[in-house]
Amino acid sequence: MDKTENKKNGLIQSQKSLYAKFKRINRLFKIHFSSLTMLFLLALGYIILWIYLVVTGQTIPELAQIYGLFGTIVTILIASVLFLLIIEIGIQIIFYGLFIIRGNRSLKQSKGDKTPKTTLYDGIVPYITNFSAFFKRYSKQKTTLVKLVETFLFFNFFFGFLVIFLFTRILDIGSAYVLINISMVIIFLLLLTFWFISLMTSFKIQKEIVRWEKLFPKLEEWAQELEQFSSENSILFDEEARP
Amino acid sequence: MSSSRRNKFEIWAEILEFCLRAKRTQTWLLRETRLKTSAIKETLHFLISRKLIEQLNDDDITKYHTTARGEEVLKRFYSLVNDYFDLK
Repeated sequence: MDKTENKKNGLIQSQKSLYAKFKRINRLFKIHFSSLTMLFLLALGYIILWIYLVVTGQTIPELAQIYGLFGTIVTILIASVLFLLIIEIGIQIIFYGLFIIRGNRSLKQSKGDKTPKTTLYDGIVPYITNFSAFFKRYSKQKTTLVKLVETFLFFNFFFGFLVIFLFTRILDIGSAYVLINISMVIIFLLLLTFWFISLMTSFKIQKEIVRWEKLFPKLEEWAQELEQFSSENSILFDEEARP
Repeated sequence: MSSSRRNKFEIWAEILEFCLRAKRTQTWLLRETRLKTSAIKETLHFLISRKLIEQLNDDDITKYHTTARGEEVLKRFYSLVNDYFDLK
């Protein structure tokens, strides 16, 4: 009886440990998703402000006056880069949003369960399945999920850097209205903060995905071992398979 | 064995985990795993043949529950995942 209890406790401990780790990963994805959403909204806000300045004739003539041809190039460049940043972040929001929705659902205890809420969880394997489905969907032979996340990271860095750099040129000019000037400074600082957060979380997500990519073949091996042993065999897994 | 979208390890581990907490009917498993009837039947047959789950009659309703052997297998599955997360 004690042996059975110990086994059960061991299982519960494993589940608890995994549950805590998955919660941490989920939080990381949520922070990344939130920072991307904020970046997206701020970029949109910036575009609105930009259009307003252009329409009222405050930006382009000023830029051209101060920087000459460079001012016009900056205008075209910033509009293009900002547009690309919005598209790129929009794609990422959908990409990570889908994952978070499914992950959250997995980590919730089953509703309508008649059994009392014991310490056993139902969502550990579904969470792994969610990750696995994500891999199968986006990880192709040439462009693996790690590469895809690295590409996102590169574009986040590149476009974000350009926007922030070019933004400083616009800040130089300013506007006749104090309120617009203050708004631009606030947007600039927030853009900088959320851009930095999204880069940090991107690095961490990339590390997690590399780890998962190594894990899935091991889980396939687990299934193969399961297939091999008959009902009479004792359960003997290859201990060397562990990392 | 079943849906081409999911691997064996996903389906087997999921059913073992679902049947761990409580006795589950085939309909319940069908709904939760979103597998085809033929696929769930085949999976249940495989797990029963390996003595990883047991078939029980509860008020004339057939239910499935993870055996001690199934718990051991699931524990191994968890420890595989846990080991990878412990890597620095």
